[in-house]
Amino acid sequence: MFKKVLAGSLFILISAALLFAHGDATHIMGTVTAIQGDHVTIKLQDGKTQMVMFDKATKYLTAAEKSAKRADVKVGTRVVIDAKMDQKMKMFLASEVRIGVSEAEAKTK
Amino acid sequence: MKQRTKVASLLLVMIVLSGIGAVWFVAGRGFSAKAQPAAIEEFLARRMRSLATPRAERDAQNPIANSSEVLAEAMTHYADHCALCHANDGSGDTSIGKGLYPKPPDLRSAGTQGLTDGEMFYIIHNGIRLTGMPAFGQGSPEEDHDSWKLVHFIRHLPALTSDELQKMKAMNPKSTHQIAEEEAIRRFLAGDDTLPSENHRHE
Repeated sequence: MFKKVLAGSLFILISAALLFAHGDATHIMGTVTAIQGDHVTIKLQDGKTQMVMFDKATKYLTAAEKSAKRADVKVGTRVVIDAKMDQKMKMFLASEVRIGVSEAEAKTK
Repeated sequence: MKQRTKVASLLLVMIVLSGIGAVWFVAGRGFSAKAQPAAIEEFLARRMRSLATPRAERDAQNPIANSSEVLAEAMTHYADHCALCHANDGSGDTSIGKGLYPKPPDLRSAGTQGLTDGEMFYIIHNGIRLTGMPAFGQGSPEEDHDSWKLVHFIRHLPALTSDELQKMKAMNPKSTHQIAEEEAIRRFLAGDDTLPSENHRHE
């Protein structure tokens, strides 16, 4: 029981660091809940949502850091996005998107 | 008034005006390293650097023949020693690079690519005073083959491929914090929601 509580607490702590900054760049870690044109909505692990926009310069990679396509970003997939705040649009602009497994696949693990 | 007195007075006025100008320039801009150097400051610094490079060094030819092996070796060296400030792609777009004054130049731009091999080597080997650029050269310039290999790699930067950039990312030095972060990301993307190992926790 103690181990479970400890594991749960630490998991929450790690989840709280979903959006951690690197200078002016930010990692956004979560699951894609909606895709609308150039904008995706990400559900972070703490339940909050974050909208991120893509542009032509955005790079897409698999979890193994192999080249991927934008079409690989689907609703329900886990993603880690390197993004910077676009001051003009007041929104995060993705420079790199790493695409992982879907939430359904994660639940079976 | 004698001619000599007139010249001396003129010189004195110019010195006083330059002093006032310098005080106004510094007081107006402060000492923040976040600022971007003014165009005149950048121009003068580049000219001074060029003038301070001995002619023989400027005209020196790269003694190392370029090859894929040399580029691969220099890429590893660059990713490990230079990328922290200059970025893997040479843009200087890193959190440390952007915090320096003056900022590291875009190594792909004409301002750097237009330097002779000798000038590039001289900068890498000797560093540049009053900037963030340290002297990397050890021993005599004749023995410093690593810096000459880096010159070849800097010439290659404008043609860097995305595959090469990916390789360099894996070569960049990482702190324990970054290693722990990468482990957390890897596990998350793989659908593994268990805890990272003891060694990789955030501290």
